[in-house]
Amino acid sequence: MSGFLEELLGEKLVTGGGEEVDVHSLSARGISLLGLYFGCSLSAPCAQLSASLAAFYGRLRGDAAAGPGAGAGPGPGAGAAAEPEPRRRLEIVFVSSDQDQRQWQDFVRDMPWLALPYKEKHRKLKLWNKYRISNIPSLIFLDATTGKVVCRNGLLVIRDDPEGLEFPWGPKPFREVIAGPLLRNNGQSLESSSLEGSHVGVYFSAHWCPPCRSLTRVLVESYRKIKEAGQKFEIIFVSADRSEDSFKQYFSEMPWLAVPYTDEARRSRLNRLYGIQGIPTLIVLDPQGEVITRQGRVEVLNDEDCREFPWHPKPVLELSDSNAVQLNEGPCLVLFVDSEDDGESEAAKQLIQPIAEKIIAKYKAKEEEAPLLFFVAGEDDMTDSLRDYTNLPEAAPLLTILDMSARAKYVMDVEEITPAIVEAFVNDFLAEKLKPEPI
Amino acid sequence: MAETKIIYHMDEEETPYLVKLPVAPERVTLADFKNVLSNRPVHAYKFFFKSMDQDFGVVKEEISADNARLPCFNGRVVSWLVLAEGAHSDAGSQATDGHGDLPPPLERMGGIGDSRPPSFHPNVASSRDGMDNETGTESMVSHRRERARRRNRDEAARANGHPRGGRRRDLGLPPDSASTALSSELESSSFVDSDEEDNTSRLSSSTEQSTSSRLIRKHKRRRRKQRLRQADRASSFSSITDSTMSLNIITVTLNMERHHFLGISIVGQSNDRGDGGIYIGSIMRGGAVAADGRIEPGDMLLQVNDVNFENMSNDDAVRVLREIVSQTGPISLTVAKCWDPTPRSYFTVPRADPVRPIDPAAWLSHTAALTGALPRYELEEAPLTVKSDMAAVVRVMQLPDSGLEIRDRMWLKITIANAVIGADVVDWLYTRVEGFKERREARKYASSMLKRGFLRHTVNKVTFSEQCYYVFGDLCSSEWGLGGGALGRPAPAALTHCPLPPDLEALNLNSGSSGASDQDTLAPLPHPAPWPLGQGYPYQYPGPPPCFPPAYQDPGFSYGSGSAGSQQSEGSRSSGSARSAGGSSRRALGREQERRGPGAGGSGSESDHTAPSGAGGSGWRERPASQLSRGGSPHSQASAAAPGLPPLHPLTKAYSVVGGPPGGPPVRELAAVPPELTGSRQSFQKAMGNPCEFFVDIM
Repeated sequence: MSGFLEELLGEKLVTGGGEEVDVHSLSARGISLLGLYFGCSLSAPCAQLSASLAAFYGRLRGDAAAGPGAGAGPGPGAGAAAEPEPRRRLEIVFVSSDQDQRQWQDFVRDMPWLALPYKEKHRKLKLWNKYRISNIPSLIFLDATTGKVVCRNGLLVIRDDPEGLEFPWGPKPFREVIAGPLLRNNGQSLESSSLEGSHVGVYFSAHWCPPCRSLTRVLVESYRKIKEAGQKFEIIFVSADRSEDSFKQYFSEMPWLAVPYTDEARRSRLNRLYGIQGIPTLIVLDPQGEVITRQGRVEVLNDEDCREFPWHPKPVLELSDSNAVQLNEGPCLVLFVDSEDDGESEAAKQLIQPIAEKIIAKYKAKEEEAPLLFFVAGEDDMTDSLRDYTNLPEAAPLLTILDMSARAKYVMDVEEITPAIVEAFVNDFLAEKLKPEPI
Repeated sequence: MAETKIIYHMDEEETPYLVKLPVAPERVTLADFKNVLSNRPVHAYKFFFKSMDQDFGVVKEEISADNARLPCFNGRVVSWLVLAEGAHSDAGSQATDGHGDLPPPLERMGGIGDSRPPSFHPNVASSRDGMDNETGTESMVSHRRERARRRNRDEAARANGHPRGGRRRDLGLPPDSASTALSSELESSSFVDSDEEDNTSRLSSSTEQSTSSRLIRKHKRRRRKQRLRQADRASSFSSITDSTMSLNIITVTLNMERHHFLGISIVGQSNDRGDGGIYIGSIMRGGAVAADGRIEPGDMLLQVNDVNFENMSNDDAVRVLREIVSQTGPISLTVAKCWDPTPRSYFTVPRADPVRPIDPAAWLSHTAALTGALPRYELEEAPLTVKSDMAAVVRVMQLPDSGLEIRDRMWLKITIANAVIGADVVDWLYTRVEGFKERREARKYASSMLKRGFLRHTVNKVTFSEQCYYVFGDLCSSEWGLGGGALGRPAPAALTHCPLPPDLEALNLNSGSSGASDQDTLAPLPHPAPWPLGQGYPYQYPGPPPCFPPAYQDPGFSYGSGSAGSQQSEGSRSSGSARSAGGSSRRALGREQERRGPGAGGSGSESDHTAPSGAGGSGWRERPASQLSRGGSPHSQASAAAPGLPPLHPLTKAYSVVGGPPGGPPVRELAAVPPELTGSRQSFQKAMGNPCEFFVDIM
C-alpha cells in the first residue's frame, strides 16, 4: 500500500545527507510503522527530542541501524544490508516548520532518519492539519500499510517505553487500559469493572494547571447534575500532577474516581491511548468504551445544565466563545449569518447539516477524522473578531473555509447560498481546487 | 415609450402609492418593481397583486419569484406590500442602516461584493428542501446580479445629487441630530413605523415562514453592532477557563556564573477566581535563559529551585522569584511549555472582549471605516523625509490608509490592539519616507522610534527587532487613559489582554551586575506622584457637564462616542478649521469636542494646555512630540501638562494612567509607583486584583 505513503509524503524524501529516497521504496523495505516527527530547528525542545529519539530509533531498528539511505552514498544508510527484524521496521520522517533552509539543513544533517524535503511547505501544512498537530515537537506513529494512527503521542512512548517493549503501541480498548483498582478520595478502592454500563468521563487534569482548577469547579457541578438526572455516569481523574501530595490535594475536591497516582504506567497508557498533549481534557466515552467526544470540556462549559449529555458531537456547531478554539484545529467551514434575523442561524444550520453529515460519514467509513469542522457563526463579539482576524468581507450570509494553521481562507462571497453551492465549495476545497487567500 | 403604472398599498396605510416603470406592461416583473422600491426593505415584504382567478374572480395573488410577470390590467398593476412574518425592519436600526448606505469603506472600495441589493424572498416555491431546480436558481441569481448593477448606478447617482454624509458634515450637526435627520428622512418616505411592526404579526400570520434551503443576503453591508462590553462576561469566560496547558514539563538548570542575569520577564495572569499562574513574557538576549534556549515565551513557570508555585499566589511567586534571583548559585526553573507552538499564526479567541480598538484614534478610523466617512488626509501635501519631525512620520504612519498594516494581533494569550510588525514598519519607512538610501537606514530609524517611545514593544524590549510586534507609544497611553478612566468597576474586559496594565509595575530583579543598557529604558521616569486628577479635569472641562461622570464610567459609552467623535471631527475639518483639528481629534476621539458641543473646534482647546507651539492649528507636522501623548486620556494630558516632564515617555504614562473621574468613585487608587522600580507588594496585588495581565521585569 505504498499509495497511502505517497499520497501522504509525496514521492521523495531526503536523508540527512541530502540524498533523495523514493517513498515507494519504503514499503518495499517492509516498513511497518511510520513516525512523523513535527519539529523545527529553532526549537530547543525539538533539539532535545532529536537526541533522545535518535537513541530510541537506533535501539528499535537494531544496533546495525539500517539507515534510510538504502545503500547509496555515504549517509547513515550505508548499512542497508543489516535488515532489521520484521517486527521492528520503523521509519521516521521529520516534518519541519523551519523557515530558513540553511537552519533546516543543519538540523536535519544529524538525523539518522528521513525528512520531508524543505520545499514541501504545502505538504507540511497538510500533514499538520491531517493529524491536528498543535504543538512542536510532536511525534505520531502511523501504521505504514493502512495509514491508521497507531499512537498520537509518540513523545510519551519514547519516554515511557524507551526500549520499545510495548511496540507497536497500537490502541487498546479502554476497558483493557483502565483495568485495575480505582480510588475515591475517601480512600475507598473499587475495581474498574464497576464502570460497566456507565458513561465515563476520562478527565486529564492537574492542580498546577490553572485552567484545570477552573474546569474542575465547573465539572463538580456538572457531575452532580448528571447523576441527579439519573444517568449512569462516572468520571475518572487521570492526574498529571507533579507530586502525590498535589494529587491528593487536588483529588480531595473531586467527588469521582481516580487512577491511583502511584500507578504511573496506567496513567501514561491512558494518556497515550487518547493522545493527550494538553490539559485539561475531558473525554466522554459511551458504556462500551467508545469515544463520544473529546471536547468534553467545551461541552461542560457550554451546557451548564448538562441537558445534552453525553454530548454526541454535532455535525454543525454554533460558533461560541468556548468552541472557537476548535477553529485552530484545522480547516473549518464557517457560515456567517445575520443572527439579528430570527431563525437565520437555524436555517443556516439546517442548510449545511446534511452536507456536514455526509462528509463526516464518508470519512468515518475510512476511519479518519473529518477533514473539516462545520460552524455557523451568528453575530457577536467573537464573530466580529474572527472577521477582523481573517479580514473577511462584511457580508452576511457569507460562506468561508478558514484554515488557521495554514493561515489560509477561502471565501465564497455570493449573495445567495444554497446547499448546492456549499457542497460544491466543500468538494472543491477537498479537491484543492480553491485558491487560498492569506489570512 | 412603454410604461407600467404600479399602484401599491403599504400595509394598512390608507393612501396607495404610485410608481411608473419604464417597462412594457406585458414584460414587467417583480424584480422591476422591487427595483423602484429600492429605498424600502423589499426583502421584508411579501408582494401581493391584484389578479384574476378563474374560480374566485378577483384575488390578491402572492408573487415571490423575481422573474415572475406581474398581472396587469389596463397597463396598471395593483399591489399590496405586507411585511413578512419574521422579517424585521425595526425602526431603531434604520437610522444606523442609513450609515450603511454611505459609500463603502475605502479599503474595500471596488470590491465585487460591495453593493449588494437587499434581497430576500420568502417564497414558498423555492423552499423545496435542498432539491432546488438548478436553472431556477441560476436565473434568479443572474437576475439579481443584473439588478445589483443597476442599483449600483442608481445609488451613485443618488449619492451625487444628494450627498447625505456631506451635508451632515457641512452643517456640522452633532451626530445625534444628524442621525435624527437621517431617520426622519427615512420616515417621511414612510416605510418604517413601529405601528407597522405591530400590524405585521397580524397580517402575516397566514404567511409561510421562509425556507431553510437557502440563505440570501439582505443587507448590502453588514453593520457591526456596537455592543456594550460586559464586565460580567469577562469574568465568566476568562482566559484561564479556556486555555490549555501543555503536558510537556521541563526543568532547566542555569549556571548563573557565566550569565550574570536571568533575562526573563514574566506575565502574571489572574481573574476573579484567583491567580492564574505566571508565564514567561519575554526573554532577553544575553541572559542565562536565552543562552540555554529551552525556555520560551509563553511557558508557564511552575517551580524555581525547590519552591513550587502551585499553591502560591502570583504575588508570592514573584517575591520568591526575586529572592532567588538575588542570591548566588545556579537557578533551576521548571516550566510547562507553551501550548501554542506558533502563537502568532493562531487565531486566539478573544476572551470576553472583541478585538476591537479601544483607543480613540483607532476607534475613529474603525468607525469611519464602517460608516465610510473616513476623513481623507492629503498625504502628498506633506512629503515625508528623514528630516521630518518623527512625530509627523508616526502620525502619517498611523493614518488608516497609510499602507501600514495596523491591527489587533494576538501574542501569546494577549491581544495587542493596533499592533504593527517591526518589519512592516521598516518597509513602510523605506518606501514612504524620503531620504533613506538603504533599508538598513530605515531600520535604524525605526529603532530610534522605539528608543524615543513612538513605538513600544509589548514587553518593553528596547532593541528593535523586525520580528516583533509594536504598538504606537502615544496611542497606547491614550488607550490606558481610556481604560483607566472608564473603570468604575472591575477593569473592562479589554484590559484583560493588555500586556501592560495601567498599574503595572516593573520589578527590577537584578542578579549581580545587570544588563546596564537595558536598565536605562526600563528605569522609571520621574513619576508624577499621584496626580490629583482635578488638576487635569477642570482645566480641560471647565465645569464638567452633568452627564460627565456616568458617561465616563461606562466603557460602552466610549464606543458610542467613538462614532460620534468621528462625525464631529469630520465636521470640524471640512468646515474649514485647521488641519490639526481634524488630525488631533482623530487622535483624541473627539471626546472633548463632543462634550463641548458641536460648536467648539478641537484644536483651540487642545493646544491651550498641551502644545505651546501648536496653537492655532498650525498643522500636525509642527506639533511637538509631547502632543502625541494627549489622546483621549485626561491622565496623560495631565502628565503632558506637568512642568518639567520629559516630553516622550509613553511608558511612564502607562504607569500613571489610573484613577477615576473626578467625583466618580475612585477606581483604583493611584498607584504610588516609587521612583525606583521596586516591587511594591501592595500595588502588585492591586494589579492582580483585576483581570489584567501583569508584567514584571526581572532582568
